[in-house]
Amino acid sequence: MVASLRRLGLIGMAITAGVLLLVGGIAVAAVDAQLRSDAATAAVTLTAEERRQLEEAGIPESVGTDTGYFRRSLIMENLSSGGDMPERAFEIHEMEDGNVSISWGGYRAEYTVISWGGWQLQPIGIPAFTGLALIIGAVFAGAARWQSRHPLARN
Amino acid sequence: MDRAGFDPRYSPEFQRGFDPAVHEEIAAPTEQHEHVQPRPITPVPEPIMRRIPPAPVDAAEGSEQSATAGADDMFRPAESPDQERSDEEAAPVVPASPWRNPYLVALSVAGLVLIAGGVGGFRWSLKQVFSGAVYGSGASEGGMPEAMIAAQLAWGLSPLLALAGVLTLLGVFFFVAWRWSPQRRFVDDDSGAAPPGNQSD
Repeated sequence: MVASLRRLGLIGMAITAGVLLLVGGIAVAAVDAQLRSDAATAAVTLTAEERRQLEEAGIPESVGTDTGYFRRSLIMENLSSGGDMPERAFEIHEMEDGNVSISWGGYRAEYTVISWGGWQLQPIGIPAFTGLALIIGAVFAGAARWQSRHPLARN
Repeated sequence: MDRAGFDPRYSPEFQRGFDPAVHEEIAAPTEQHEHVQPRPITPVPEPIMRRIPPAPVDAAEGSEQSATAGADDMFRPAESPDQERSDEEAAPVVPASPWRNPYLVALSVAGLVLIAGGVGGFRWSLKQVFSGAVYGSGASEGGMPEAMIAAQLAWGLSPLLALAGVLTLLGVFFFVAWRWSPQRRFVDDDSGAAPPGNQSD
């Protein structure tokens, strides 16, 4: 193990560690994105009881479109704000006269907003960035060690 | 005894009117010549060695040489071994251009690609999310989760890629500045060593 590491050299080890960090960081970010998508999907998915209520009220057709739109909104708000993903993105109200209505976006009242400033650095992206920086740094070290083979050249 | 009448610059016994019986006392001290201090030895001049002129390549050229050519060579000071060694060290060794460094070229290309990829990826993610292109581009409901995951990855990582590209290009510029030499032109494989008189740096 130690002998193989010595054979790699400092630059080789840095590149290897960088590739591992980059691939691992992208994998972790992909898993995080998948979890965020699943949470958003769960937040906009109607339960069987809610779907029955809406069918009785005659508004099931518009729910599908709203689901896709709010799912995307939930993901982007979560990305840009850094807050938590709400468990439910809508509320179904049953009036006294028997009418049923659904309201989207009620979660925003209790939404934890860290920043609405657009893109922000998330901790999940740091491993991939560190791996990329290691690879680039190793290539810079290789550039510093490089010597020209020209007979008249001096580095 | 009065020494008047004798030129003090010369010995009295060789001057007119000198009588050894009378002027013996005067002559005696003159015999005690002041000891001349030996002059310091001057340093030995450089040895003059004959430098063997190169053999004439052509008889005609040899005949056209001036008559004093051999003498000119003969009276030149001999070259010491140290001087020869310094001449060898002063061979036309010129620094290599940093842009011949393949690592540096790869870093420059990678920096540009990272910047372009980062900016392009971020714009793509914005288009995917805010313009509803997940649906508009013909993606089915089943393909939407994959598109959203890719959009999230692009959103989160693209600015970091662009940042890495900017830092890489900055590093390349610092590296070139570090290796830049104002004294000589850089060596190019095609043109060979640049002539010393053709310095534009």
